[in-house]
Amino acid sequence: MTSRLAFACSIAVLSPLFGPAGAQVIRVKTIPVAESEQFSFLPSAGTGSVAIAVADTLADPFSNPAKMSRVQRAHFFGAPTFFSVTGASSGGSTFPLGVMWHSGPVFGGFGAAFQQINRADSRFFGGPEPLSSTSPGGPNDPPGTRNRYSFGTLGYKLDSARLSIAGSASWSGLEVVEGVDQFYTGSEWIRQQGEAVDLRIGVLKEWRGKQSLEAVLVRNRFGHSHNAGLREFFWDPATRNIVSQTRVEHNAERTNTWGLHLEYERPLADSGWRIGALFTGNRIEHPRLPNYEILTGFGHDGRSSAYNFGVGVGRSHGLVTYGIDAIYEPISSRTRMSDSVENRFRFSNAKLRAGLSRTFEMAMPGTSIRLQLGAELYSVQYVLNQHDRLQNLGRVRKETWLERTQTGGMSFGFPGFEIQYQLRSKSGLGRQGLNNNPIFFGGFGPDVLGLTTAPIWGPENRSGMLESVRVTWHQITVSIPHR
Amino acid sequence: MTNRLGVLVLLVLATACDRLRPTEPLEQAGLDSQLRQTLGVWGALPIRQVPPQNPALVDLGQSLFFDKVLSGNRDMACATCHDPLSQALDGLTLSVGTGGTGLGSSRTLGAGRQFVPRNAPSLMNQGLGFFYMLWDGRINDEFGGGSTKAPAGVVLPPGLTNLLAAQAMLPVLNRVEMRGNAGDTDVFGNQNELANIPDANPPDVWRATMTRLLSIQAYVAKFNAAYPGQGTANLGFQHAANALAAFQIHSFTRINSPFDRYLAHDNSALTTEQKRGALLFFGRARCSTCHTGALLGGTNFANIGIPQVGPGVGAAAPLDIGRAEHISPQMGGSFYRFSFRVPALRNVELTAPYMHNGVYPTLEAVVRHYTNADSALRNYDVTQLPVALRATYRNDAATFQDLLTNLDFRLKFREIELSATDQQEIVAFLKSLTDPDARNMAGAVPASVPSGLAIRN
Repeated sequence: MTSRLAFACSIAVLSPLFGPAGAQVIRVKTIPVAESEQFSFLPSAGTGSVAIAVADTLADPFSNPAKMSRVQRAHFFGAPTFFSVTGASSGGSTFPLGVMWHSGPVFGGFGAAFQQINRADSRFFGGPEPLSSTSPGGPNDPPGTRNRYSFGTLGYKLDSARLSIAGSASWSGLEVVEGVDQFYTGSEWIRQQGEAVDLRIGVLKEWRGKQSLEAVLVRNRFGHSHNAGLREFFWDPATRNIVSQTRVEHNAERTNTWGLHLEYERPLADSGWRIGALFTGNRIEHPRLPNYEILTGFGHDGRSSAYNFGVGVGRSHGLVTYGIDAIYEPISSRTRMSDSVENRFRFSNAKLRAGLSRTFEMAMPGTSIRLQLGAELYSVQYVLNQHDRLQNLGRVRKETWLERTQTGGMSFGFPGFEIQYQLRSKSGLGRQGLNNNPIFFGGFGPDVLGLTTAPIWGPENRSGMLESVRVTWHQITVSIPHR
Repeated sequence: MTNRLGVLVLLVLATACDRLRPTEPLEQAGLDSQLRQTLGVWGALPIRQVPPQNPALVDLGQSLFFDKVLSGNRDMACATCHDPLSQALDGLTLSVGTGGTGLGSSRTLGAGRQFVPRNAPSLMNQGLGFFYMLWDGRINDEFGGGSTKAPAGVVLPPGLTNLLAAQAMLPVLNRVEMRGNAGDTDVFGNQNELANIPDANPPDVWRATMTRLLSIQAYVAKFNAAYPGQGTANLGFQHAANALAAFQIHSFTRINSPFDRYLAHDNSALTTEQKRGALLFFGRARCSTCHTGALLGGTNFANIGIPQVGPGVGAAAPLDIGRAEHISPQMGGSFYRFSFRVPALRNVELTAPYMHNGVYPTLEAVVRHYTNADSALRNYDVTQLPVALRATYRNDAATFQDLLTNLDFRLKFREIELSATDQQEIVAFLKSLTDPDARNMAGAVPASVPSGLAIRN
C-alpha cells in the first residue's frame, strides 16, 4: 500500500451499490467528488426521486425484495441506461434485462446486466520517454472495460396474514469502476478487479386500508483492487536530463455493510394523502476516509454508524401525483489515518426531495402519456476532529456542500407494453480537474539568452482541485407484461 | 394544504434548477493539492541518485582535496575554503586565500594579501548536473553536449569528465586563491615555483602542479590505481581534476531533505508552515521564476541589486559585474551586468553567509531583500559585514544607479509584497531543503594526506 496524494474519497463511495437498492446503504463521503452513476441501471417508474410516501412499482422490489409481492403478473423489462460525466470525458452504457413474476403465494424475479465503461485515459503531450520500466505484473493487455451483474429474488406471500417475506441476492463482477483514474493522476494504465455482493431479507406487512410496514436486513460486501502504472519524472544528474520511469502502485479496499431499514406508510383518511416515515441504520467498515487534503492509502481502517430518519407525504389526486421527502442523516465515523492520527467525522446531512407527475389519457383506449419532474437537494455537512495521539495535537475542520439533482421523464403506456424515458442530471460535485497547462519542465537547460530554456512538456497535470462536473444519466425502460 | 405542498414542491424544483452553473470551480482541495499542482508547473522534480564513483578515483580525489601541496605556498587546500566540517564552505563573507591563517570563519587575511572577491560557495550537490559553475558561470556547458567553455585565456585540456572537473582546473591558476604571487616562498621557505609561471600560461601551471604531485610516491600509487594503464608519464592535471570531481560527487551529495521526501509522495515530510512557505516560494513570492527546475536554481543569472562589497573583479574592479565580465558587449554583455548565477537551494540553510559576496548573514535577511531590492540596496546595514570589509562597501549614488538600472525585470517593475509571516514561512520552507546528513560531513575528512602536510590548521 503506497501513500498517495488524492482529494477524492474511497472507491466505495464512487461505487456504493448498484440500482435503487442503494437506498438502504448510506454513503459516507467527505469530499464533493462526483460518484459514478454506473450502478444506477435498474428500472424505475417513480415520481421524481420521491420514495417514502409515493410508490415506485418498478424500483421498490429492488429496495425491498418482499415488495415484489405487489407485482400482479409477470412482466419482462429491459432498461438500456447511459451516463456521462461532463469534463471528465468518461461515461458508460448498461443493458439490464429481467423478469418479475408472481404465481400463487410465490413471487420472484431475476435478471442480468452487461456494462461497458469508457475510461478517461491519461494523455501525454510528449516529454521524456521512460528510462526503464519497473512494472512487475504490468499487463500489456488493454484494460478491462466491462462489468457483469446478476440479481435474483424469491419470496412468499401469506395472503391470510397479508405478510410477504423474500430474500434477494445480487452479484457484480467488476473490471472497471468509473472514476478510479481520479486516484492515479498521470497513470499509464490501470487494472481493476472487484466484486460486490448484496444479500437482503425483506418483510412487508400490509393492513387493510393500504397501511404497510416493511423491514429489510441488508448485508453488502464490496471488494476492489487496482494496480496502476504511474509514470514519474526525475532529474538525472548523470545525463543532465529529465527521465521517467514507471512505478506500479497497488491498492485494495473492502467495504462491509450491515443495514436495517424500517418503513411505515399509511393513507390520511380518504383525502388521497399518504404519509410515511423511515429509519435506516448502517454499520459500515470501510477504507480510510480522507480529510480534505490527503488520502493515505485506502485500507479498511474506518468504521461508521450511519442513520436515516425520514418523513414523506404524497398525494395522488386524479391523474396527478406529487410528494415530498425530508430525510435527516446523522453519521459518525472514525478513521485511523496512521498509527497515531485518527479522524473523527460527525455528519449532519439532510435530503429534501420533491416530485410531481401527471398522466394524460389518450384518445386510444389503454394508452396514456405520463410526465414527471423531480428534484433533490442533498446537503452534506460535517465536522472533522483530527487528533494525533503521539503529539497530543488536534484540529477541527468543518465542511459543507450541496448536491443538486434534477430528474425528468416521460412514459408512454400502450395496451401491450410501456416505454419510458428518464433523464437525471446531478451537479454541485466535482472531479479532479485537468490543468490547462501541462507540466512545464522549464529551467533545466542553459541560460543562453538570459532566460530559462525552452519548455519541455510533460504529461497532463491534474490540477489537484475539484472542478465542477455534471453527471447526466439517461434510461429507456421497456416493460412488457406477460399475457 | 394541497396548494401549500404544491408550492413547496415547485420551490424545491426551482431551487435545484436555479443552481445550475456548470464548470464553476469548487472549493480548493487542500494545501497539498495546491502545492503539488504548483510544483508540477515549475518542474520541481525528484532527483535521482548520482551514479556511483570509481572508489580509486574517489580515494585519489579525497587526498587531493585536503592536500595543501596543490597550492603554490603549500598553505591552501581545496578544503581550506570548502571545509566538510562547515558544509563544504568557509562561512566567511569573502574567502581568504593563500597567505591566510586559520580555518573556517575564523580564518584571517595574510599580510599584504587581499580577499578573494567572492564568497566561497558550498560544494554540496555540485555534481547534480549543472550547466554552469562558479558565481559568474565562467565554466559552463552553455550549449549542452559536453562542449565546456572556459574563461578567456584558459584552454582546458581534453579528458575532463564533467563540468565539476573542469571547474577544478581553475583554483590552482588563481594567484589569490591557491597559486600565490611571484616571488612567494612556501611554508617551508622554499621558492614557490608555481607562482613564478606567467599568468598567460595555464598549461605550465598544471604541469608544474602535477610534477609536485608525482614527486610523492603515494600519489603515484593513487594515480596508477585510479588510472590503470594510463602510464604515469601521460598523467595531466585533468586526471587530478577528474578525481577531485569524483570525490565531491561521492562525498558532498546531499539530496534527502524533507522536501525531497515530499517530492517522493510523503505528504507528512513537510510541516504546514513549510508547505505554506513552499506555496509562496512557487507562487506569490515569485522565487521559483529564478530558482526553477529540479535543482531549484543554478540555471540562470540575475542582477537582484546586491550591495557591492570587496575588491572587485577584473577590468571592472573595484566593482564586480559578474557574468558580464565574460560576455562581450556585442554578445549582450550589458544585459548581464551585475548578474550572478542563481544558486540551487538544497541545504541553503547551512550555507550562510549568502549571495555572491556573502553580504547577508541570515536567510531572513535574504528574503527581506527581495521584498524591495531598491530599498534594500540603498539602506544596506553595513554592520552585517566583517569589520575588515566594511570599507569596501560601495554606497555611492553612481554605484546604486548602475546596479538598479540593470535590475532584473522580475524585481524591477513590481514589488514582492510579503508580510512578516510570509517571510517566516518562506524561510521555514527553505529550511525544509536541508538534508539532515548535510549537517555533519566529517566522514569526508581523511586522517592524513600523501604530502604529509597538516590537514587542519
